[in-house]
Amino acid sequence: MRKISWGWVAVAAVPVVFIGYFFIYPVARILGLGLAELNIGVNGLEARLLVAGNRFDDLDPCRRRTSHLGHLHI
Amino acid sequence: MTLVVAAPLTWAISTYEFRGRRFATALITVPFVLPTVVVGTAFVSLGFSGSIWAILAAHVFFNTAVVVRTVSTLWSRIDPQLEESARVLGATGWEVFRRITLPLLGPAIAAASSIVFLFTFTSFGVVLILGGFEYATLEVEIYRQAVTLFDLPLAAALAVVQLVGVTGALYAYSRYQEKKSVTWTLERASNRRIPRGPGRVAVALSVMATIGALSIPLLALLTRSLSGEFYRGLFETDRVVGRPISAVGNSLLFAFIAMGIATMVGVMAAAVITRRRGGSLSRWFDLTLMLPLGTSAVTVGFGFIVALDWPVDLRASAWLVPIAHALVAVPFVVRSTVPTLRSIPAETREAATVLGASPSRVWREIDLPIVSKAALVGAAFAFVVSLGEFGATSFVARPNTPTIPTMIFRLLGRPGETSFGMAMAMAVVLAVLTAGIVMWIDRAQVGEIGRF
Repeated sequence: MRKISWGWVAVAAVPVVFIGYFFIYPVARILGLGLAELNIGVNGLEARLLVAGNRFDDLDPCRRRTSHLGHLHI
Repeated sequence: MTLVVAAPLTWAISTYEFRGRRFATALITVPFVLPTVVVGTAFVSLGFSGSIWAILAAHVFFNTAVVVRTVSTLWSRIDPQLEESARVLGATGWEVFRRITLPLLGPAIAAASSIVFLFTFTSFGVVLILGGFEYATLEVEIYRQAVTLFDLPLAAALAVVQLVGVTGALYAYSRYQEKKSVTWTLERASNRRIPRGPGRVAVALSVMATIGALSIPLLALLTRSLSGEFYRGLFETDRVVGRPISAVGNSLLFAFIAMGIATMVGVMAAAVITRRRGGSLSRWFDLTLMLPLGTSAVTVGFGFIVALDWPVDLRASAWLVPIAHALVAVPFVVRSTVPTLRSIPAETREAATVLGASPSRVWREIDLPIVSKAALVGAAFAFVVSLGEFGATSFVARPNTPTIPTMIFRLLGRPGETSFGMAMAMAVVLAVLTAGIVMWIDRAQVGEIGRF
């Protein structure tokens, strides 16, 4: 079994911590925040399609009637 | 546009040997090494701003060197027998170019195009100065949402789109290289010929027209900066922007700190990467360290605002400026030191170990003296990067400690001829500082040491 060189571990830790804390972590936080805002999960997409469908029906006089009847129109 | 503008000079430099060729190559590199704020200010001094054409022209100005240098390196080493054979078989000059030369240059053109695309896609300073919020790109919109409107979730969503765009562009480029890569023998020495007859006129016109066009913005910047007492004005205190010359001191201080951090982190990372040759872990580590280079500085700065409130809130700290600069500069230090460390024969270290030297002593007495020059070149790059950095700085710089680029932006945002002239003068100071250090780097590079 290879002996662990703690000196090298310390040397490697400096760039790992630097890049990890000042780059990887902020990018991960941006991704988390941004993806939540984009709402591109399955539920989010469904909700957006529903909203889009409602908007589309509002523009279409023929389908507006069905919309007023309370049908789900997606 | 950049490909079209760079084509005549690339052709002249690649195929002909003429007096002043090296000087012309060095001269067209000047716009590329200038900070984006200086380029933006130079175009403002020409009276070009507030239009999409100004933004495009500035990016062409900035990136022409990328195309010329990338494509001419390959073009000058194409085996001349290929073209001669086509000519013997009856092809005209145009046919030889279209059917032989152009397909061979494909990978270099693709590489240059993708670099230009990425630089333009992630461009911030030039777009903000020349287009403002009216011609906002993704970068400028992230800045507007985060800094002006404080809508961090929307800014983060835009940053995600930007990250996806950059990753997609890099992926498409690597796929293209995989598909189109063919092996062919390059000539060891370049095959440039002496221009004669009409070729001489064409070469002279190509070189003079390109260099002339690229010089205009810089000459306009210099002329406008000298058209009043603007340099003296930099030393006077203003109630709103403070004493503009103090930004030079701030920038130099931040650059020294960033250089120190980047050099320490970069050399340590290079030592770890080169310790185990060919290991998948070291390859991943190397790749991870290069990531800040492919990410826009705006995303880096925005990330600091979003994330660095844990475990302690660092967002108001003045240290964030040099840390952001160091983050962008670390890849330069790593790239300049890794080849040197790899060139040290393993036997040298083993001999020292056999003679009783501890690992730390081997590093101190074998590796460090050899790598120090490459590290110095990397450190100088880090210094230059820090001096001209604007994207991340615009997010994290404190109002009382502006850097040169943020002071130029502040001065440009104020009404009046004096502020405008002082911004020009400040841009000239930054350009001279940057050009001086880049010239030193060019002289310090010996052989392959410190080259990327």
